[in-house]
Amino acid sequence: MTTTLPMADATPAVRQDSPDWVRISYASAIALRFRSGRFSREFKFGGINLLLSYDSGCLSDCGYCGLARNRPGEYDDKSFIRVEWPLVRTDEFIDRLVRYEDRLTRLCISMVTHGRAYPDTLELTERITSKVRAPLSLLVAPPTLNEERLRSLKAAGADMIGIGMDAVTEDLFASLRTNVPQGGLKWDQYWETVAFARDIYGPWHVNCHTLVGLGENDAQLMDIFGRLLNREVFSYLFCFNPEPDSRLGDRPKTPIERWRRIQLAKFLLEERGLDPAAFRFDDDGMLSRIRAPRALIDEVVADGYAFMTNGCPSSGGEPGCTRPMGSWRPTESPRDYPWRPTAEDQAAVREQLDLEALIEPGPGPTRPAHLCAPPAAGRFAPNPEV
Amino acid sequence: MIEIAGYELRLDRLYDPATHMWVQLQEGCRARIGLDPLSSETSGDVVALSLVEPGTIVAQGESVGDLEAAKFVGPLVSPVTGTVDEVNRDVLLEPALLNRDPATNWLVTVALDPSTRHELDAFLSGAEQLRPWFTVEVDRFRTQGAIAE
Repeated sequence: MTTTLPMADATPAVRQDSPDWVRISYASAIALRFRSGRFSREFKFGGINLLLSYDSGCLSDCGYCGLARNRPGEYDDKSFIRVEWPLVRTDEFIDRLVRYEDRLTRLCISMVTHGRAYPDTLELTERITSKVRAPLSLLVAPPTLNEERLRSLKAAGADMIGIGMDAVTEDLFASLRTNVPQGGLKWDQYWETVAFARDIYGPWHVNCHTLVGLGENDAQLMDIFGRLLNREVFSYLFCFNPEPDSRLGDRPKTPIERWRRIQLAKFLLEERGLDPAAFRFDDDGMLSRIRAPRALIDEVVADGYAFMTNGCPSSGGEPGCTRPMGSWRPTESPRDYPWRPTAEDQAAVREQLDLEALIEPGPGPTRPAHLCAPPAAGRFAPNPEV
Repeated sequence: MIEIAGYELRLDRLYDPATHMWVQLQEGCRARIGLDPLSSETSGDVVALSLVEPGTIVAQGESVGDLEAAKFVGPLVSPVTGTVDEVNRDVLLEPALLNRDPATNWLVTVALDPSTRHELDAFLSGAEQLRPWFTVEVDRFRTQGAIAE
């Protein structure tokens, strides 16, 4: 096969940096036909993720991240979320967004910590939103931003802001992102960015990424979910999946049983209004019981949304950013489903949850519906896959 | 060798349209099998591979291993019935060879079961048979969005 693709040269004579070049996720590269390939299962995919790219790389040094400054290897060869992110020319990328616009559900630019990240993100936001109607999110790098810049990014067309908190306690954040060889990221600065973004973008237009498996316990996760819920900020769940050669490269992947319980508990708290007191923890702070009506649990499992990817919505309100296989290998049971779970998927989820051990009879939701996280449009429709 | 829609197909072997595997007959009623170029390309970047152990008996349609690509996993389906007598350790160590050169980098060699030699009759060979089949298949994968532009 001798197809010539508009992708980066193997040995570039000049720098191939943003904003003229961007990296895109492997799934995005397939969807936009930069790369040949298939997904193991057929489903509609239109959540396009791009990442700023600089020869000098990301200046942060987070212990779990593939792009970390002190992870071995040249920046160009580093993986992010374990797979290669192809480098593509921005002009060609935008042309393809236009060409495939009918299938796009959500676009997202991920910043990195770099001196050029803000102006380049602003330029890319303007260039993309002037040509493409699909909604655009930004996963921001707080050290590069302030209130005014967040306003400018909104004026340029971004409608949602994501903050990669990742670690859910201050101590954990400090140990992985601040007090590391080239660290210095500040917990308070991240929360300040959340607050600015919440004011500027409005309720349910800001999200915090929370990673399960960095060393926190379940009670700490549920605590941050509750605090974000009260501020009308989404928490998006991510499953820790070790990046080879990173400082946490030897840390085991989060067991799927724990992951499923957190998915269920988070959904019950945020979208079904279950009282925080319904969640019981053992001496180590790990979720041991959920007190709730069994019918509610069965309905949530059958509905399936609790186990789908947490991501920004499409313009129609359905899950828009679905990151297929972002935290699981194609050979594994999906951690977060990019499709509506089928009957077979549900059976696996039930087994992983071990509901008989987890659920005990208890009162129903206490949180008023208008204070719950908003369900996306169509979420209460019958699951067509079952 | 012929080129069809940008893909090179060697004419020294048979092609199974059902599995997109090639079969190259060897001395002693043996057959070497591998991925055809369309199967290799549309799988995406191959990152891991498993193959059955030598001595494994496989029937046509059964798996001789699994292929894992960046976003895809699937069985490697044997186009023939027989006993696997050799496994290509090179591709196990470096699965990306299957993307780089699927015609050279075979998967397994199978000692064919003489009673099932008729299986070979359904395979395609020669430019006249290969061109129409492969052209349609390229179009099909292109329509599915599995081939880069």
